[in-house]
Amino acid sequence: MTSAGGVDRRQLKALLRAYFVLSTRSMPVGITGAKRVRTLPFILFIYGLLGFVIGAMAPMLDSTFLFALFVHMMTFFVVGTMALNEAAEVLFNARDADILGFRPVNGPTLVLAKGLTILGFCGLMAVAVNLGPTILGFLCKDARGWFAPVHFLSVAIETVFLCATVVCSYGLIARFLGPERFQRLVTAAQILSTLMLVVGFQVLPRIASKMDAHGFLETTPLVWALPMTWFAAIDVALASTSASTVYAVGAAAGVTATLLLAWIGVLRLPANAAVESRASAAPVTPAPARKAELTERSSGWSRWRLWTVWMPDVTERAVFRLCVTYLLRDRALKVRLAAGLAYFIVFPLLILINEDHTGIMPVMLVWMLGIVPLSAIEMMRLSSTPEGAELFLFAPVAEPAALFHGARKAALVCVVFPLAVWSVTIATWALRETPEKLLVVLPGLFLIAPMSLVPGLRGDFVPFSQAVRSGERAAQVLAVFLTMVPMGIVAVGVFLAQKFGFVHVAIGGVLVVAAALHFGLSKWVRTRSSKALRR
Amino acid sequence: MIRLNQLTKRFGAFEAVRGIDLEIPAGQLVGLLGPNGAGKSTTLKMLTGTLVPTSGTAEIAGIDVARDPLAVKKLLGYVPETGAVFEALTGREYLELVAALHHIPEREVDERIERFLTFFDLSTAEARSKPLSTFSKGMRQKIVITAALLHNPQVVFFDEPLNGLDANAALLFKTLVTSLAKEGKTVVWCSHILDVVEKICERVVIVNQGRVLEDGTVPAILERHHATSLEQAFNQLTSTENLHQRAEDMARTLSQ
Repeated sequence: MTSAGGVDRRQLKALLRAYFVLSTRSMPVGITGAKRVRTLPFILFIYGLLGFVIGAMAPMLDSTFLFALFVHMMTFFVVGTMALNEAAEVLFNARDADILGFRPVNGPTLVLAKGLTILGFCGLMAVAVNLGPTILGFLCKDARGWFAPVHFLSVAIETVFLCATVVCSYGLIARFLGPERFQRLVTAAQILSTLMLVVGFQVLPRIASKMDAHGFLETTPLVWALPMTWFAAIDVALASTSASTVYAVGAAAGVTATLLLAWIGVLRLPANAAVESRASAAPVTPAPARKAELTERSSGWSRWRLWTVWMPDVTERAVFRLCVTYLLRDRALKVRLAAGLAYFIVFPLLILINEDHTGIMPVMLVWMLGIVPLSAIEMMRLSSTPEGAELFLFAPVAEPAALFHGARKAALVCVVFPLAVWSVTIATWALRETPEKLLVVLPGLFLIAPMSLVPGLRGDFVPFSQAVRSGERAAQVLAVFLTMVPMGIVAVGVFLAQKFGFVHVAIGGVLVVAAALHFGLSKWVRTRSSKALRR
Repeated sequence: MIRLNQLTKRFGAFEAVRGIDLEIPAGQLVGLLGPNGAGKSTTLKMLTGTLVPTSGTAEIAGIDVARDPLAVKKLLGYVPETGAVFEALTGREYLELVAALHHIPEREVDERIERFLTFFDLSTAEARSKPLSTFSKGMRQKIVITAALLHNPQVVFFDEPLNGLDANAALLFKTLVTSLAKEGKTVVWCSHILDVVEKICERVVIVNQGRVLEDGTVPAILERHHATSLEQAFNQLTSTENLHQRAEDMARTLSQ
């Protein structure tokens, strides 16, 4: 029944079946009854489409290596972010520990079951993203006809590598740091890895595009330190006329690293599951000083008069405080935010790398602020313990819109404001030689307030009332990108207005539209919300 | 069957369990009582292998839980206070998962599940078709109890097992538990419902602030504390205040 490595096959089969049912069965999740994973086919379709757009670049490139490197970078970003988010939910599910912690399941079996579950979902995304490049990759000038199966293989290895890396890293953190420090470090590690993935995905192709395709490896040998290079090397070593020993060595490095990580993650860190369940089960008692500090900080909010002027409704203030507390303390929310807002770190880097003289990028940086409240507020719908939000259903909430406005204002204060200061500072620095272009930034700032009302129009907004499910994050990223389109159109309009000398009129126009939108949307949110909690 | 030797658990500076010594022979039905935060659940978690003791040992059937948790987990059944289940699974799917995890021979799984479903008056069709998320609290608790007993464990830990059970189901379950003890199983019953513990447990252990305050049969405890009920003895042992006076004061404050 148990293999030499300690994996119990019957248990593994049963766990995989259970996890498969758990991740596919359509059921209401959370107290506001959101339906799960119905968006998954749509997400896969969109990522598939994106893959085909990238695949279409193949005939334009004469280096299979550069094409493969770009495709593997994208895969690394999409699948890596997915693996990080899925791992947070699957590996460290506190409820899971309550159900399985006392069952006779050994570490390797549980870790392998969880790892394979993550791998399954990540594999779906990897296939979607790589369908186009797999089919079209042979059109690269030095690619061979059998590029497709080779690329499929390299993507499969890359997906295993990413999932094994995540499982392994978490296992190591849990094993060596103990449960008390575990949660904090995992949060920091997740945020950092997410930022690195986003930064890498955006910045590396730009650096690569500046280099000579053929002399790329000679001029930048350090590129071999990046794992995606190893997987691109598999494509070249097996399916390109440019294959050489260098690529064969790179490919071998990729395969070896994957096997090693999978072996360490599943079999050599058998304490993973046990440590994980302990980490979830152990009550982490805050040190007395920290506890006092939290209490003092919390009571400080309510004493400050300004809040009561801005938020006269007591429910709104309570939800505001709840959301601020979550933004400061909740690991999952912080990680989701880091992934969603990493572009604000990436963009300034791009501004520095691109030496943009048009002034478009600094302006876009500020205009992108409009999507921040959308992203942040949507994230505040989700929770790993949505039952807690039943509190709002039983409380005599006179004005249900207050639930939304409390969350909205928390997002504005804690997320949008700091990012606005950061973005405007960067934009001001970048446009120091053409300060008149800063005028184009203003309408972007005006639109933040009305944009923050948009999430109130979707479904019943009850904070932290929906369970987090596979694909949720990808769906949000898509929604945010779709919202960027109208914002972009307005931004281009203001840009053109400046070019043709009537920027002040355009700014005034946007201000009036923003005010009207704010008024109209506020009223709409109030009308919608009044029905929400009475269903 | 169960032996605790100076069992201690610390979370940072906080000591949840402070050197508990306890021995429970096979076939005994023991009530583990204590106020909130007394260390009962932490002790149970150490006994079920989900928490590692800071110091001391916990042994079940001569096996050190910390050294070989897997071997111990095969011997025990546990109904956690949370009653957590995989809600997207049907009752049947959940029990089949548990059966596989405990290596119940596949040919016996159906029969054992049916036996429990019938015992608890759960409809087979409902257990087969409906996800646990649609079950009432009581129905779900019956599934959790079934999941704890399905593999015929030698030692069973119940943490507030009557949560959500109706009066008939509770009566049925209490009778089952006393019968299990008579059959030689060791049962530890953790609860705040002292009347039930007084009626069914042959031995009661009262803990507070991580220490054992009292250990003995119900009549012996009542005699030692000159109490007429277990509730009275418990109050004397674990509270320094006059609870009646405190409650009356609170009611008065609320009415003002």
